[in-house]
Amino acid sequence: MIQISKQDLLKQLYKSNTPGLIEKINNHKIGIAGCGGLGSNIAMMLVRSGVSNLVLVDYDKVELSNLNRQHFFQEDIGKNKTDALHDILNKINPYLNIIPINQRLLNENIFKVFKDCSIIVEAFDNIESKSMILKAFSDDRFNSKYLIGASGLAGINSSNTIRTKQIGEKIFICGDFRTEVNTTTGLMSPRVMLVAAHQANMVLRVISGLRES
Amino acid sequence: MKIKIEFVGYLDIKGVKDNSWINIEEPLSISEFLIVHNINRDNQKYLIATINKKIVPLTYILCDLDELFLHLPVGGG
Repeated sequence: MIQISKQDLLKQLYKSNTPGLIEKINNHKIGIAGCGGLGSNIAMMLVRSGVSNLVLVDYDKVELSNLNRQHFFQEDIGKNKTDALHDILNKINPYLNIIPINQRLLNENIFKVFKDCSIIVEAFDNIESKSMILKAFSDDRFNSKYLIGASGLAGINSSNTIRTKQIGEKIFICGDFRTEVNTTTGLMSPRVMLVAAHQANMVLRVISGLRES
Repeated sequence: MKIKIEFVGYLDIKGVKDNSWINIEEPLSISEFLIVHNINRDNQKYLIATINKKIVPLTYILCDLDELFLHLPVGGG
């Protein structure tokens, strides 16, 4: 770990970032629902972009089979994903305000878990949870929040099929909307990363007041 | 009554073209509308509907000039 003051570290770390963005970013707490292929990569990109307030939620532990696409390492195997990711993110910026929550997200706890977040990133791998979080956005308690979800990222189809679409006033979905994971498609790092990058970029665009068509 | 309908991905709504305006003879909920077009309640379980960019339950009764968007999430992550 380099030994410099917090002020100098943050100045150097983010000196190549888009000017003026860091001040806006600091006003937001971002919730990441799921810390697997999408969530671990989204969190990594957001921290590199200057996001320091994060709520990380997952109930799973790191397995060897995750390392083909998830931002973990062999030394993390067996750890809670939220804790392992917290440690990794701290290696980029040790001055983060991260709340790791080792829980399964359900209808019963989702409003409490993300109460203080202005933007929630849906990074689940299963259709049930994806549908659950989208339906939660019809509830008044989420009226003021943004959701950035994912749908369709399996296999090695063309990168150019992946897009970001605004489906609600404050709801965006990234992916090709079509390619599901099965025995013929599989889950490959490039397209998982592509969708994660779309989601992370959309977080920054929302923070900047920008939208999508 | 006329509604606009848009859907993405592998949703196949029999007799309905994506991004088109269609006529509905009588007031129907979104769920009833989908049943008419061969999407039964079992296949509606994970379906997300928005009307004029707001998420609504499938029990929502369609109104004239509503813009309906349907999204069936795809697994993987």
